[in-house]
Amino acid sequence: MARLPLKHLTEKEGIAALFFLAFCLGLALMFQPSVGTSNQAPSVSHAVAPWIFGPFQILLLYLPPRVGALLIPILIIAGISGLPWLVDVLGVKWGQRIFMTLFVFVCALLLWFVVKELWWT
Amino acid sequence: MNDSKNFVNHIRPRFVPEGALRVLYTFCLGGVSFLAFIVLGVTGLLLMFHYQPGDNAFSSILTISSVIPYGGVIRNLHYWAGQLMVVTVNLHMLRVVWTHSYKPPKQLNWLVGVGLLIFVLFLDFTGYLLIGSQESGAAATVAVNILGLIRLIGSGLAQILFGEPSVLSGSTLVVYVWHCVALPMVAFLLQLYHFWRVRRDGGVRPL
Ligand code: HEM
Repeated sequence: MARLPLKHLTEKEGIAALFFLAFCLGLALMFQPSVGTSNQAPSVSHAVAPWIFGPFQILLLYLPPRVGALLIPILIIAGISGLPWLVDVLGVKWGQRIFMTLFVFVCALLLWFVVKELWWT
Repeated sequence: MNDSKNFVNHIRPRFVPEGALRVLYTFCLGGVSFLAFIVLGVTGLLLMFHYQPGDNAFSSILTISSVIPYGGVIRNLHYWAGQLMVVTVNLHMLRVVWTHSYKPPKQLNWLVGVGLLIFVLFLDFTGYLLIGSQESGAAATVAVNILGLIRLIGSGLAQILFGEPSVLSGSTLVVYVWHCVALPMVAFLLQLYHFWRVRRDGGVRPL
């Protein structure tokens, strides 16, 4: 494969960077993130996790803590970390399928969280 | 001397493989994730001038958002860059899977990547605790309880990671130091290693 001067790469990444910065600034100017509930206010009865930890909140809600909070997340991280070796043993098709199953599982939990905690309340 | 030269040459080589230039191969997602990290570093540093960890955390955030000149936009930028970074890092991981770029000799860099993903999640979590709202307090309590499930070392670990968060606010000095110093520093070094490895493993190109 041909090798080209670094300048081409920095130009390409530079353009992506400008788009990203503009997008970030746009979001920052248009949308003010919530600060949550002041600790001087009456206590909230049910705290909703930030969306990034939504999958975690769903697991905790329905499973015993040792399973939902420790076992499953550890298995997911182990499964993702092991991808190159899974592929070695099972072949690319099955290795990638296992990875995608884990990934889609977490996305499904996130969707569940969004529907349950953010839309219906 | 030789080692540092080696490092600089890999971070800033004179030539790169043609494949690295294909936008539709990397979608620039790794680079954009790094940029998000830099934006977070700069806006985070600015926030540190006025943020107060501990009992005054929540009110200091309100002051930053509405009283300090440009404080609102700086906080918003910090927040949105953080959210976007989680998205771009996940998409970057999917791209790596899509192009099979975890295969030898890139397995070690895949593991470094997973480490970075975990760092990003921890940074996000500790940042959320620093708001010092009731929700942050609840999140800190959940985290401390989860660690408490681990026999023998759990409660010690919780002390090391969170200090003594109150139920009403997750913000403590310990969480502050993790979020602003320890985690970003290690994550930064890990990213430099990640970039060095990208080129050491032959650069970004279809395997
Ligand atoms: C802080 C987060 C991360 C940053 C800043 C980052 C940055 C980068 C950059 C700039 C590249 C060069 C190619 C590209 O832009 O796509 C790259 C490649 C790579 N990254 Fe990441 N990355 C991060 C997280 C991850 C994660 C979570 C994984 C996987 C679990 C990962 C695995 C890889 C691998 C295997 C390569 C080599 C790809 C190839 O040669 O085609 N990285 N990373």
